[in-house]
Amino acid sequence: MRPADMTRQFIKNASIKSNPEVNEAVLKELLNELDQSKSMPCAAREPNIWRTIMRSPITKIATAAVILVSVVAGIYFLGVPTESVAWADVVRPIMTARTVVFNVEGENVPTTKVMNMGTQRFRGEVLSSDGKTVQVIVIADYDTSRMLQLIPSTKTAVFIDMKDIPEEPENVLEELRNMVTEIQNDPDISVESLGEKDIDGRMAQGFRATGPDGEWTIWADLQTALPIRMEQKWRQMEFVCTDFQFDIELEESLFSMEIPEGYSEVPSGELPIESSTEKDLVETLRIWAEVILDSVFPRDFSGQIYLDDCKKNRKKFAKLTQEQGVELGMKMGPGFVFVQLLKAENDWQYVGKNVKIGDSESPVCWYRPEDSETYRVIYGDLSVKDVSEENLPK
Amino acid sequence: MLEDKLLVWKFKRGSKEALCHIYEKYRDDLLRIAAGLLNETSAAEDIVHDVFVVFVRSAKQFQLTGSLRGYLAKCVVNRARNVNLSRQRRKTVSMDNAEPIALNSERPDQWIICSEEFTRLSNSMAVLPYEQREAVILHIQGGMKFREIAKLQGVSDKTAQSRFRYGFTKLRSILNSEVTK
Repeated sequence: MRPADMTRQFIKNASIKSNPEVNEAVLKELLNELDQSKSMPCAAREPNIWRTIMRSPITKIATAAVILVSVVAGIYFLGVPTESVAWADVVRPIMTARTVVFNVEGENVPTTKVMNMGTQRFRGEVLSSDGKTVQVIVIADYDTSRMLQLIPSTKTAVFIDMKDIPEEPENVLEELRNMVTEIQNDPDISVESLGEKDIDGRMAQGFRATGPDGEWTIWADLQTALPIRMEQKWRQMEFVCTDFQFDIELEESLFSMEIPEGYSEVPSGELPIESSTEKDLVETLRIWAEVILDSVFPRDFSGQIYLDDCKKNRKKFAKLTQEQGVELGMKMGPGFVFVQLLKAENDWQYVGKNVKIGDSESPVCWYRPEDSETYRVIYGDLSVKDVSEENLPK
Repeated sequence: MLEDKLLVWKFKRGSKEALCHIYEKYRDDLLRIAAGLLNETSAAEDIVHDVFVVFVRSAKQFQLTGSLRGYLAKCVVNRARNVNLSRQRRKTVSMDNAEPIALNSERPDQWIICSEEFTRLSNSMAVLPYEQREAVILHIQGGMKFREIAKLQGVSDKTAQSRFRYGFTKLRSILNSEVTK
């Protein structure tokens, strides 16, 4: 038999060439497309579908979930988990017609199980990377704008007042069905169809819509028209929602704002969600590089990498008291929120991999504030400078 | 990786040079993957063309979170899969029984020009089950790790490895038998 490495080599070497004339013709077409896309506002291309999607409560729920998860990512710092807590068997469903459960995961989002009871009660369970243990639990009450964050490993609880949570969703199931039905049946909606696909044993119809803040791909069950998977690139976030369950029973206690028995409350402050600033981002970068890593900026700016870095360097935080941990964690969250709330036109870019703290020459990241002609560039020494577009790092 | 990040960043801001660079850099790789998966040049050309067009149209929303090469390859794979499913539903030529003539046919506007080795390889690949063919092509030609292939195929890492192993062993056997004929 032909040796394996020879076969591999044969496959690698089996080449194609592309016709130069066609290459040129296709490139010309692409450049024309690029010209057209420059002059075409994103939202104008798919007005109906985008409005429909943005009206959807599930969108708002997912958005709120992501923001809450990002807040949790900041607070997780205080966790210093020394032992894992198994996925708690706390779910004992009770019948209600107003529940939605799904999983969120993505490169910038720690894997999280999201539960909603009605439109005012939210519970998110941030899972470890193997999905077996719950690292952080966050429970939100939209009526009172309060959030309770629990860390099972340290049995600590923190109350946080939330400000400016996105518009509260209503009638999730009904609106969701309406949305999918509208997408499927309205001939005026010019959304790209992705055809049919088997998702977890169910035949689904896929659609992709684009909007000013991102791209949404929705796979809906062919029989029930209910979404079973949504892939979303929203602002700086890219995440996937799966395993949707509607109208399942959930225990009321899952959404309780009471501190569970055995947990101790640690002090907290307000964590502004919409009012995070560039200063918060600088502080987040400083703590990440100075305290969590060894004077070097992270390889990328994402919640998952942050959690990984915290886990890898947990020994460094062993001497911190819980209060100190909370304080640092509260400083980390707003920086994440600031980045997540940047829009596509803010042109956020992170290039801090391998940059050492104190390096005044190397940029770590940049963005363009709204209505600004220049960019704000944060350098390795944490200085921030206004830089014109043509002078941005090449 | 950093070069790609900057390329994408420039591309998102409308840089034609960046688009040209991305196109030149990945075009032939994507054509090769598509042709290998579909065993038909015209369908492969359509797919790669569409992937680039959609990529350009979504420039403003595009966010690079992994490798650009991996992203574009995934786009090709997803579309190739749709073509495969669509063919199976129409009960015309199944991908697993595709005739090799498609790769050899010549059109005046043909984009892909296959080498003799590639044609031979594709014809041998055509007898593999689609999932195995995908695993072999993505791992060896696409340079993807099994973890990435598993995610793309929606299976465990072990299943992706098994698919590769079965496909590769079968391919070796076919190629070997051709040599000994």
